[in-house]
Amino acid sequence: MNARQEGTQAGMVYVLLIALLAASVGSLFLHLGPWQPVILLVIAAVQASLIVLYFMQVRSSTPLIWLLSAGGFLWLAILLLLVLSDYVSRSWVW
Amino acid sequence: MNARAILYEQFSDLEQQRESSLAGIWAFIASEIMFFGGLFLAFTVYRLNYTQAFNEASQHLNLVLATLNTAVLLTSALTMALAAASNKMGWKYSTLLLLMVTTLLGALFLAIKGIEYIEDWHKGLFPGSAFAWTGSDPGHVQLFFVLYFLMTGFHALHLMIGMGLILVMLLLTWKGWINSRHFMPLDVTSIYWHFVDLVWIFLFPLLYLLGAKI
Repeated sequence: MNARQEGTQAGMVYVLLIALLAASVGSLFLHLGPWQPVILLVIAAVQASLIVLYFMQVRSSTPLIWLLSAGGFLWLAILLLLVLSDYVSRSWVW
Repeated sequence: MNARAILYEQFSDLEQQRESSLAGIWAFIASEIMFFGGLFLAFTVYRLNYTQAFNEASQHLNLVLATLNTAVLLTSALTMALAAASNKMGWKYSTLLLLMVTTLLGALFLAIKGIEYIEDWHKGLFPGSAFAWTGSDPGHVQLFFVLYFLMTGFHALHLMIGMGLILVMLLLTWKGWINSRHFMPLDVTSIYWHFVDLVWIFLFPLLYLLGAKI
């Protein structure tokens, strides 16, 4: 992909990012109750993926860069998952 | 991949040269993810335990300014990506202009954040001896604001470092040391800038939107 296409693509990603920002703030007006956090985090995750894949050039990179970039998020996922599995399940009574 | 790029002698080809720069910045970003990850984890755990207090605390933040700031930061991400692309096209002056706009948008973000901080201070939301909360559960509300100021403060610090890096890139591009044949330093700076953006993408919903009452 040449630099000109890269520029056009950045413009399209930007439009999507702003639309998603509007969607996340707009979702507050729908009063989604327990679904609100889920919607907000899904939108944030989509925005983050767009930034990582296009702005941070991971999509056009080699498998090694895919692995390295995914690695950081994988360790974060382990941290969150293990700690939260403790805190969330503490009140469970069997 | 730019075919006109200069290949330095320690690399066997352009792809390997690019890959080693990207591997370097991603190893650094992985450590940054863990740094912010700890703060995000602390926030999540406390929010699960003290949901009521955290929601009430969140409603005292300025949602309008924060939404505006998110848009400012996303726009700076666009101008940064365009600067990197423009440099590869060999358009020196548009690259310089885009880098300048990116720095100014970063400064605008900090200015708006500063206005917010001043507002928070006057509302007595800053933790410590100036903390003045008349509602219920002041202890856990204060905990929210400790995390709020730590997380947004560290984000602002990263943003300032990013602005410093962009100013260096601006100088190097001006001098002609960065150009369409030697562009990886600018690309790596751009990736760091986008990481700072990434942190805010998660800070914004967690701090401002989750507890918002509309």
